[in-house]
Amino acid sequence: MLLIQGLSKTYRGSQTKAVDDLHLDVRRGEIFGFLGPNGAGKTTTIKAVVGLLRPDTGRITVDGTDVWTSPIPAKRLMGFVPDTPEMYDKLTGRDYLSFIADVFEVPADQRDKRAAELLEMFALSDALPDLIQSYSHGMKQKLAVTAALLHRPSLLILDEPLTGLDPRSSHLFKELMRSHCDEGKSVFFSTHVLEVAERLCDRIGIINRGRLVAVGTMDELRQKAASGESSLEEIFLELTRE
Amino acid sequence: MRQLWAVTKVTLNSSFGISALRWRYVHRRERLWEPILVLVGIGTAVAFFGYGAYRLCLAMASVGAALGQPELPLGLAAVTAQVLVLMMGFFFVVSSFYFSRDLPLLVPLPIKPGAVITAKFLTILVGEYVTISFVFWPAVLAYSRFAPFGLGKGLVTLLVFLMLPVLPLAITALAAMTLMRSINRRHRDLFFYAGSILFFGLFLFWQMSLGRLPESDLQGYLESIITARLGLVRVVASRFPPALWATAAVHGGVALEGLQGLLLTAASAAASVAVLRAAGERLFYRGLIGGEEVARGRAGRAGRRSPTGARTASRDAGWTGLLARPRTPLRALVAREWALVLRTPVWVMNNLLPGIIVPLFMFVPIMATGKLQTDLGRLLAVPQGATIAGLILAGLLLFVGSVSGLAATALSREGPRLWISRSMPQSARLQAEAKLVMAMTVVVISAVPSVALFAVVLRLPALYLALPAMAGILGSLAAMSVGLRVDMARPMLRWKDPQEPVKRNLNALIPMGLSMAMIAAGVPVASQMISAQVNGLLTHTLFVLVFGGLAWVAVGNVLGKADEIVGRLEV
Repeated sequence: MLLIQGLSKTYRGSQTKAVDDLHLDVRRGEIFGFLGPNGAGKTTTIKAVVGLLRPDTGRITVDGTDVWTSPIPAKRLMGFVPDTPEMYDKLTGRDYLSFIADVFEVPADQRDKRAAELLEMFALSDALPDLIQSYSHGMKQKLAVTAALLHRPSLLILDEPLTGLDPRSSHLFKELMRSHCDEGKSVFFSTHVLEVAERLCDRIGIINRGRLVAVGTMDELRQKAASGESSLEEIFLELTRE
Repeated sequence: MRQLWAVTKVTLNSSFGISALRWRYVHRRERLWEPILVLVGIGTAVAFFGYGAYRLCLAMASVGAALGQPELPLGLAAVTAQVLVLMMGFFFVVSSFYFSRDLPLLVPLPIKPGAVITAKFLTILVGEYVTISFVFWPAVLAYSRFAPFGLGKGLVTLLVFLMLPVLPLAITALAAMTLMRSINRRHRDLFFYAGSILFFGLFLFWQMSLGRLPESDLQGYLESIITARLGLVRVVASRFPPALWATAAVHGGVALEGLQGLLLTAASAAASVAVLRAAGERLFYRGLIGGEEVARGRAGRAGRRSPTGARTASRDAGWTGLLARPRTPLRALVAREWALVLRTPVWVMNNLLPGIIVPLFMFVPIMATGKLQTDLGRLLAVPQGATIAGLILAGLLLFVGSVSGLAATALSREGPRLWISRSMPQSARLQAEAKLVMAMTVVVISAVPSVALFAVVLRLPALYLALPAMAGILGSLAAMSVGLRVDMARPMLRWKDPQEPVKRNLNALIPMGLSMAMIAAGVPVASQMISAQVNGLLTHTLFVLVFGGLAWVAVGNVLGKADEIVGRLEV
């Protein structure tokens, strides 16, 4: 579903590569967890995938569509939630979701139904007529997730999606990711919550200093770390040791 | 006092971006050409407007000197400066006191509210000094040509300058705090608009009342103005007496009259700050926090109800109409632009209202005196008068259209939310189209009052109205497109306060600069054509073609390059 080949990116004014020759694939129907310490290159990778940062080298395709040579068709396949969802404070939740449905050209007979399902799930229905500026961080996060799922993307990309969610919403959201993948779609998300990654992800990639240091299922990671029955936390610490 | 100084320092720093500028230009030494360009631009603007103001003041001083009152420009400058601060200060006060992003950081600190508002007050004051400099110093310079001006007078003048905006700004701050105390956050945008219209109305009223003379005993009134000491200034300052004290202080210098004026100016400034600080202790946090409580309460109720599974009426209705009626992506993008601008008062004030206010500012006071009809009526009597009137209309529309920075700040206004536009499956070209459509709608709307005025007052033939209107609008389209292109290439994306992308963004000035250049280039061409007795319609058609050609090239360029330029941005 998502194929990243030889991605490298150096920020202007910096000598260090934020991402260095990254190769990664996310398969159809899987939840892929992307882990790494602060500043490892997770957000840079995600931004390059969704078209917010132009890579220096490398190729990124979503379902065979190149993100940088065919950005519009590629973006139709993706839904994206950034780590801090900066949104249009002066729009109401309804305005925002309507806008997203319009620009993603969600069919008229489906937009309300999809929005209703997601809003009910996240208990956001009552807040829909309010301005986004009155939303709490968690409510904004849930609205961003609702917007990202409105067009039923083949690939859902999330940067630290569980930050700011209450336990109930967090639980619902994990179930939602699973059901999304059960429909043959994929989820690619970064997180610091290793327990979540361990329990939820089909495969995990660990990035450190811009380079992918490990990728695979939990069992494969344990083998790579040669640490027997270790937890993901122990594997993570071992693989990202300075 | 140490607390006040600390808060003032940090407020000044964050408001003017001092640390950020130092980091970029001194520490990192990046893009050093930018400050040079900015300094050259500011220098040119100061020279241009400052010299214009000086010449005007010189003429006034000369007239005043002939009547034995060379202080006339001082009085006018003092009144104008104080009224400007009184009117415009309102927006700065409300923005800084109630809408700025540093409030969540300042409020929890163990600082008295009086110290916070005094620090913010001083920060606004610094900005006001820049504004009134364009009015005050040219007047002082002109005055000094006709009256003795020594070191003592210079010192008094400097003190007067520093104190001049304090009283009007304190009055406007007190008014804003009192009103904000009783208005919750949800209605503050509405209040901002209402306040703007009120203050604008007051300004017009003041302007018109200045131009009105008493009809009974006009002779005696004029004699008293000419013979009385500071007579002309008293007339001008009668609507705002502190200006009279300031004028007397500068004119009198270190003499008794001057010191009296200085004392009154200083006392009024000190008293107003003391009252402001005392009122701030009582009103500021109540106004600020009261509004927050209302906003949070609503959000809280919404959050509490939902998890219980309470069904809403819309749910029972099968969710029909849950979202808005589907629109095409272009219409959705245009609607987004409108919604965001209309719901952000500072964007309305900076980008939308100028196009409507500028013609009113120009016409209403003149109309009130009946001078415009006379002058324009005389214009029509000369050969090619209709052509000249049409050209004036085209130039006016071109200028008024370019006053709005809507296109030239379009991408900057998205700022930290640009990720939404960049991750949506619509081309940057389509998004640029939407931004231009929105900006040009405003240009067309702002053209209506001017065209209507020329139609009603001059009764110009339809083609003499339509062709210049087209020329002006097409010229504006060219200027807007270039502005948008520059903003797409170099947007100001890292901002926290919505004032920043419109007020601190030099891109906003690009359309205005371009329109001035087009007017400057068009005037000699038009003069030649009028001198050569070229048919008026032909002259207008030529301008339509030239500006239309420029617009075609500029629009083609911005739309053609949009995907490439925006694709290079790193969000």
